[in-house]
Amino acid sequence: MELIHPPLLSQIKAFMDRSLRRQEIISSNLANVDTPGYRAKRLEFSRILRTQRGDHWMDPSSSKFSSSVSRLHSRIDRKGVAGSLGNDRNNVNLEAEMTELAQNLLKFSIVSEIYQKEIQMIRSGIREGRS
Amino acid sequence: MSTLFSALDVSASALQAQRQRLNLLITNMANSETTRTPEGGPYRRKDLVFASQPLQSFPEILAQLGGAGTTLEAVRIERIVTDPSPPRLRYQPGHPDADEAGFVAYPNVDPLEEMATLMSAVRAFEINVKAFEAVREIVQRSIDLARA
Repeated sequence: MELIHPPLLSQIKAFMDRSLRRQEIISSNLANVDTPGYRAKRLEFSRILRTQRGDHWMDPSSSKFSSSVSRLHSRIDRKGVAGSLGNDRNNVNLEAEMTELAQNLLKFSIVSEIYQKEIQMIRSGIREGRS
Repeated sequence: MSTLFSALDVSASALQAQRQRLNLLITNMANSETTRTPEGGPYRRKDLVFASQPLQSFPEILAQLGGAGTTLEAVRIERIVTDPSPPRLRYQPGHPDADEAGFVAYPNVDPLEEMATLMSAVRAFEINVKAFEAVREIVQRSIDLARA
């Protein structure tokens, strides 16, 4: 059922879920930019992707992949983010967070654009078959 | 379970906290020369303490029951403290609040320090507005998907 469950759409869904998760973490880091003792969090996606890569090339529709993504939830790195600790023991790096914010938003826009194109293609496929 | 609107709550908590901080700063600045207060003595500089707080919405609590930890941390004002540092003494023998030696106790407010904190609070407010807008953009784009 390539048309009803196109692999691209499920990949897009997985990407958007991750993108949202990342946005939540960025929002939390930015909200706590002045909280003493707060440690920045980061979604460690690339490392998990690397360990997955060996036996299973990035196929977000596979159960193995989705289980690793759901495991990400508990894997959020609390202390591993490199950044200098200020007097208040807070290591939120403002520039890094803002870059991440912009990147995340742009990636989401691109992917949603791809989604719309995919739907358009499916739609035109249906239309052409009808005539 | 999407916690998309919780991300907005986190940004909103930061906006509220920073605005509260601004209010306190303004109070400090306005009273930087106040020598009389209801408690007696000169005005004392006020400061506040931020603390992070895991956001506990209903879906979040459900998710925790399922074993997953919460990702969202809002910010709240833990308490408002009074700066214990001594007041600044100025020699003004003619002043009605002067002591026997002619010194008037002025508030322990340093305008330079307040201005620096003011800038930091405004910046923090701005970046959280940016984060808020980013989430709104993502929601808007998700809605647009349905129109494709």
